[in-house]
Amino acid sequence: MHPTRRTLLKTAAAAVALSSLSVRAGVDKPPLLFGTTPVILDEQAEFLRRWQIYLETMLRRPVQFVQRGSYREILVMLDGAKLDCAWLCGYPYVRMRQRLELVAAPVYAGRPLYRAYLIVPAADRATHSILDMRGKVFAFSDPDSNSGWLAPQVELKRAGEDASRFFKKSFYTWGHRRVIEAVASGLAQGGAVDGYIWDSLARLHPELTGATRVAWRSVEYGFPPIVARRGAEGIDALRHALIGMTQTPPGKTLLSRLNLDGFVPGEDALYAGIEANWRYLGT
Amino acid sequence: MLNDLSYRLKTPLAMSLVIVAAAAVVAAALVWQGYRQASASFVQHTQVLGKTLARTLRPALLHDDVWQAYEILLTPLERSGDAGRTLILLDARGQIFAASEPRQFAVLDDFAQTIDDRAIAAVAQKHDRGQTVLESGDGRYLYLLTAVQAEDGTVLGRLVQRYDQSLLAPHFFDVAEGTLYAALAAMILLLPLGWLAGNRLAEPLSHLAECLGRVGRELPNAIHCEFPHGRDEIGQLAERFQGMVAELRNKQVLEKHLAQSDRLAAVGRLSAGIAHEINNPLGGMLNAISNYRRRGGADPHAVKTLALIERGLVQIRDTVSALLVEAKLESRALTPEDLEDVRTLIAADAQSRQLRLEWDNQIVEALPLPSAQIRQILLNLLLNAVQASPAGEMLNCKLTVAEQHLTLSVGNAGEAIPERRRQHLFEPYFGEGEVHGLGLWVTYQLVQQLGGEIVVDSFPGHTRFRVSLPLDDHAAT
Repeated sequence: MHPTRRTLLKTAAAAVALSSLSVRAGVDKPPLLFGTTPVILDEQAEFLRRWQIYLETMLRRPVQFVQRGSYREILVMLDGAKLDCAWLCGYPYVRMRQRLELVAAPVYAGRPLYRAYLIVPAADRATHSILDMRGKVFAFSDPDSNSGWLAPQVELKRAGEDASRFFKKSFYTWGHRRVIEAVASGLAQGGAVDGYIWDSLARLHPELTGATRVAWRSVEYGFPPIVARRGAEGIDALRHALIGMTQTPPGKTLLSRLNLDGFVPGEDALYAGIEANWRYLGT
Repeated sequence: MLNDLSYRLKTPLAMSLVIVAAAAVVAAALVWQGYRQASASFVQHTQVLGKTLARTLRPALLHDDVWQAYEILLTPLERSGDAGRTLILLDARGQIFAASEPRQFAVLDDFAQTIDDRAIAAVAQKHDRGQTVLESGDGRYLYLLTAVQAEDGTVLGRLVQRYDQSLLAPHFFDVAEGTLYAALAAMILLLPLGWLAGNRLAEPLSHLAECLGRVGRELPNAIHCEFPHGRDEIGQLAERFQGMVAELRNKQVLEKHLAQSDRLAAVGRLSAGIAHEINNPLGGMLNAISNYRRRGGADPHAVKTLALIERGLVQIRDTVSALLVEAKLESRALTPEDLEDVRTLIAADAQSRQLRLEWDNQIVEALPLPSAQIRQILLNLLLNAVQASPAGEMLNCKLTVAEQHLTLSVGNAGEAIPERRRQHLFEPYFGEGEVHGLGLWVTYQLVQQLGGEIVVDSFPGHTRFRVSLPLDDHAAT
């Protein structure tokens, strides 16, 4: 019995579909373990799923996003080779530079830079500096965040204040978005937050950011980079895939969801400001 | 005013009122019960929530994590999303650690000062390990205080759940609404039944009242009332009522009868007196005429005149003696033949008016009654019947003896005797038409003298006179 021409065509089409699927899935290769932190709005499962598909297609290997409750857990996992790469804040990157490699720096508003914001409830018109927050309840985002911890600490130290006694109470929310929520609800009277996150949320959820007011903006710092464990496989491919996101429509869609312009290879000099802060604080 | 209302309305009204009142009481009880249960289950629910939250909040207090505490406090609220529920976590010193409404309950503020309610502040500062439920002083809020404990039982802080009492109002209205509909349905079903039952109960009573009202206004004969039989109070009353009406009826008949016989007796005495008064001079006058003739007066003109006077006097005597109705001395016993003679006598009259006579004589032997009087009674009755009966109809006459009584019964098919005439039926009658109208008077007098009685039934198409004469009585005299 000879197969008809039509059957042959069908079989061929099915084989192509199958192969493309297996190439994207890359079942034969070990997965790329990608840690994310609240430096982006990472509580969006649907976005991460699309980005995963995009990266798997570009890298031809499985990609697995890993999320944890704090920056620290991701850092520990990265340090312990439980992750291949991660989207981190510049602050832990400068501290762990010997063991980490810069993969790409995001471009925000045309440059790979961002600022730290001091936010207060919208009703508070008087606060213009962190020094006005004396004796108040203050929300930090994460002790491993530049904008959410390091930058305000440096400001206080420069003013000669002891950060541990300056506030009536301070607490961590383990995320920039939650700092905004804490300030908006009145739980905290002020908070330190990633300016990029606040701006992005102002576009997505103006009712939330509308309850807060940016009282102070820091100088520009290097945007939280994507870094890889030194010696991890496929770093170049990942960098290439990230930088190439501006070239494809799905990549552009993902970037617009992130409120970013794209990725550049970046350089360590971008994070000199953060490193200087770290060294100034002496932690 | 209520006393003027008929039982026909009062009883159903009372029934309806009782039904409405019962429904209202039951509904109120159900609503109260339902509300109590709803609030009990609400409190229970919040207690469970409080215990769960207190356990969950322990690490947040231990690790001084304000944000974690805040998020936990918000968890049960985000779902319901309504105002009136506030969760507050206090630290061991009674300061606010976190609250679901941070603007009202700011971090590190003193809880006691913030709420300004001494009783609740006191409980919040106590170091007991249990759960306390209490109302705020103004009754507006329900407070639940639950201790947050470390593993070893140390009190780390306190969870305060505050609920606006108005949260229970929807429960109350839900329960009340459901109960109201149920009560309304029951009333719609029961009210007509109650009204019907009340009506049925009151019906005989009002009927009785109505019948009683007729007594005195109407003649006892006209009062005919039916009541359901029974031994209940209404049944007894009805029985008494019927008895009373019957007695009234008897009394009326008796009175009528008495009045009639009194009148007849008076008329009898009067006529007898007049007859005697007339008879004496009459006898004298007749004797004088007789003496004059015997002496042989020659004057033919005088003889002619005397004869005229004598005829007139004799007619007066006849009339008077008819009025007097004296028992003749003749006391020959009554034989069946006497009665047959009467039949022969009347047959000719009946014939002349084309009347048929139905004759039923059951007398077969002589009876101890004066024959002349009986014959006159029977003849009078038959003559009256012939006169009253329309031509071509049937007369009947029945003569029987039973229970020591002779009964003469004479019937005709004429018109009924008018009521006005019946009142004075047996009185001397000199009305228009009839010759002298003394027939029934004489008959009555004779019957009276013989100790019997005469009754008449009369309705259109049938009139019957019945004379009953005792046999014993007469034999004794």
